[in-house]
Amino acid sequence: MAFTFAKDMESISYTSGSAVFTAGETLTGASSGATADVITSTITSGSVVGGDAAGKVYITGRSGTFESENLNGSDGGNNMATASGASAVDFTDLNKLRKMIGDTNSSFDLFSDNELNGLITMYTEDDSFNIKRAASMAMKALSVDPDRLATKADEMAGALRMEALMDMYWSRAQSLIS
Amino acid sequence: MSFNYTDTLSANRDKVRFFIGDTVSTYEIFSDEEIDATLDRLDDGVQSDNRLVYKVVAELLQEISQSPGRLEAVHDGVGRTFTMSRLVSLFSDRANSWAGT
Repeated sequence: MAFTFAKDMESISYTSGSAVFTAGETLTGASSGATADVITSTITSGSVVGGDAAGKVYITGRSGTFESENLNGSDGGNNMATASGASAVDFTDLNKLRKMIGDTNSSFDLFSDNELNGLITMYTEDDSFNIKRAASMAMKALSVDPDRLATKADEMAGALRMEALMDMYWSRAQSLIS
Repeated sequence: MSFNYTDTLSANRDKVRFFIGDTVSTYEIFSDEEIDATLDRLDDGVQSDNRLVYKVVAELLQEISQSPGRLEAVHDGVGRTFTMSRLVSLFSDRANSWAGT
């Protein structure tokens, strides 16, 4: 069950993409020597096959400062894309949703990436993601699911009774969309 | 009787299982056939998929609250102590709220 969250997530805008970014590969700035690990990426125009893909690559664990330069990937190879400038703090919708529902600890994961991406699809209309709605629905699901809540209870070392957790998630779900 | 759950939530049955907390086959609450039958019965062919899912979730949560056997399945998987009467009212309240979603 895949679980993706990074509290230090940033993105780099890129152009001239000629290889697919792979989750976990290391990017190195050809001039700056800055490094970071890839989380995921988007393509907003062009194509990898055409060598003109443009979009964002989301990274974690950055060391150094990227600049307008070629990007070398440990999987994608040298000059796999061109960075448009320095990275900036930027979260994916999945990262934002995990943060909103408090599902950020991979040792006590509540939902898989697939499940939350499924919710993101359900609550995206006209390219606009309704994160409050999705978070509310995720917490409603939690409020009737002792299997998942047991994970949260374990994380809190039994500080809350299960029924109290179920009520807590329900009231939080309601408050998000009231 | 079968049990299937795909966590991409692309099918309505998967969405229903996700929202009612019935995603682990070992502790099945409803079979695929029961969920599919409810989806078919409540589908008026006009409402959105999300609306249909909410109606089915409301009905199934109400059914759980009225069925000790299904409530057993709700908590068997975690080995925690629950007050059954508390679970009955909890699921009933949730069902009523989902009906108005």
